[in-house]
Amino acid sequence: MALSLLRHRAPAVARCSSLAAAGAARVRQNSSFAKVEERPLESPEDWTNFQLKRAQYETLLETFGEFGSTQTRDNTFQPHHTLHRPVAPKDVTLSALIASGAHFGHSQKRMNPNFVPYAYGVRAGITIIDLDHTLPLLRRAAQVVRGVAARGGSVVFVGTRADLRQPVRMAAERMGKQGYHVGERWLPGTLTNRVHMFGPEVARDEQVIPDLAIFLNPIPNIHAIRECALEHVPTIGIVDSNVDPRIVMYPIPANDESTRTAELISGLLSVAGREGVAIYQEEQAKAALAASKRARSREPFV
Amino acid sequence: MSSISLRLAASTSRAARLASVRTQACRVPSRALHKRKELSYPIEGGLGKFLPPHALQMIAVDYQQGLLDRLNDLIRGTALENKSIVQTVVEAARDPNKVLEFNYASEALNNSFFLECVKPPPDNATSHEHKLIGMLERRIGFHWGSLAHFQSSFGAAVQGMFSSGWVWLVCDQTGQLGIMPTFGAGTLLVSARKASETFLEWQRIVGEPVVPYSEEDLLPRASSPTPGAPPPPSSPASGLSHNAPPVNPHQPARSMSSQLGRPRDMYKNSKGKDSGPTKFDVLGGVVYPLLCVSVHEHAWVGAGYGVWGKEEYMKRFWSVVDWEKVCQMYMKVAPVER
Repeated sequence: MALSLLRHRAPAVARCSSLAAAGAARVRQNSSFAKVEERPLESPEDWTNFQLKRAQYETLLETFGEFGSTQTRDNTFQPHHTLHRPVAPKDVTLSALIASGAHFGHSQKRMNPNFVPYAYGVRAGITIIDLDHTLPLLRRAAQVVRGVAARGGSVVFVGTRADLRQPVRMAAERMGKQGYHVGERWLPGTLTNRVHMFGPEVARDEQVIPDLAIFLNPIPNIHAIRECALEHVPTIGIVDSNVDPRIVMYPIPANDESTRTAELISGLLSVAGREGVAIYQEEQAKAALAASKRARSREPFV
Repeated sequence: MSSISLRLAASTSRAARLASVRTQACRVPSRALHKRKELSYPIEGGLGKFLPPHALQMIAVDYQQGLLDRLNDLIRGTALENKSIVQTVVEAARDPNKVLEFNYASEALNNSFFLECVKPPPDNATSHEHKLIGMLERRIGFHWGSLAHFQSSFGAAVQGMFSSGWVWLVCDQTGQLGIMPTFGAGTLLVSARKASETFLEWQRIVGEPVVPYSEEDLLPRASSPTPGAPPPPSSPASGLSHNAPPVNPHQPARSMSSQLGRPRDMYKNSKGKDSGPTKFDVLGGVVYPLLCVSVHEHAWVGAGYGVWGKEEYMKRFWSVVDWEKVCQMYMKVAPVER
């Protein structure tokens, strides 16, 4: 019952938000908070006054901040931590996967026969994904990302849904120059029609084809996966129970509809990638140092 | 770090994984909610002549942890579970169903502030008054004449409070000082626009003329009823909304919380003009706390002063006030040199 609620949560969410809005309006009326927040801002002076009052109030909160108890915003779980505090590959646990809802698959009727090895069973008409298989496959994917990055390879994170845009952007930023992301739409022909897309000079002189592609929602990006296969790009992807796991090279059987799961997995893979980038940069630095030493030793004394 | 060590640190070796699994299995997972903060001085020594060790233990440990335990019981499993005490006070104040959470959190916050603005007296002196230097000392002299006058005004404010509460030395962002009461479980973080009945009664006891409050008086005009008196500060930034409901008798603690309103300007005081007996401007905007005293019977009865020992309790309070911290707080919130 709880699982089906989660699956069909769209109408429930709509109901909750309207109730919450009505509740918020009621609470607002009883609130003894800023009168200046109730009045709509009309001129730039209103906005400046609002900013000043807000700054003063925040100073007041800060003067009281260290008193009361030991619990602060930093040492408790906040909802944004799944995005901004990614789990390291060595710290990921089954509980974390379950807490993010990674074990909820799609309806039993839609289960792909090739997915059966990764399914734990069925409950309330929904396939439950076996996380005892998912966790080692997730760790293997992290090793792949780290290995590719440690050899100077470029990794592209693809997540083309509204709630996936920020996770893929942050994952790519974590990997610095070797990380890329596609948050809006994978333009068809990016790899197979690159001469037309980027121009002949760019297609010839620069590396357009990534060394690894990670798909957080593979079903809407099936054409991108096909292009990667045609161009021989290794792929990692979150496969749900209605998908054949063989479409990507390193499948991670998990819930592809859950934002928390996508944040957990993309964060984990990007942390592994960041470690690989650090290894690569260190080796580059060592090589440069050795090369400069050799050049200096070859120079004649002046 | 070499690349080999990076690789070793990065890889999940079997031994490391097993070790982490073993420690996780032994540890009982429990959600750590609010716990009292350790004081910056030892409890066993007490606070000089102000509070003997058993009284300090009662206030700092029994009362404080009791408040936090009761708060934890209320918030476990709710949206307030992961909030700090300050956030709990602000959010519970907005919700009329969260009176108890607000009360416990506000009392815990004020008690913690009170315990941190006192310190055991040094060995070679009777108090920390030699640390009162700089802008704050000049301001106190300007407003009240001398530290002794300030202490007697503060003491009068405490004496005038018939119920439990807290009396604060506050300042606004221009550096102007004032003495402010909060009654019951009231807090400086959340202010009502109108003065409550308790506040007016307190003003009458302390010796203030009763000043009516009205909505149009909230514009920042400088005025003050009597010199040397604790000026009622105002917070236009944190007043009630326009259609605030009437004071609910079921929520006495909330209604008796900090009432920051502005008195009607009986003496208009524009810049440069002599305004007769008023030489103080009323505090404007948000007020920041500098010093706080707990006006609760459990404090002086528990310390052995007796049930009517409030006056002696206040006199001895001055021997343990940590003026160094008060000065630092003042410089942090109002550093503008005039």
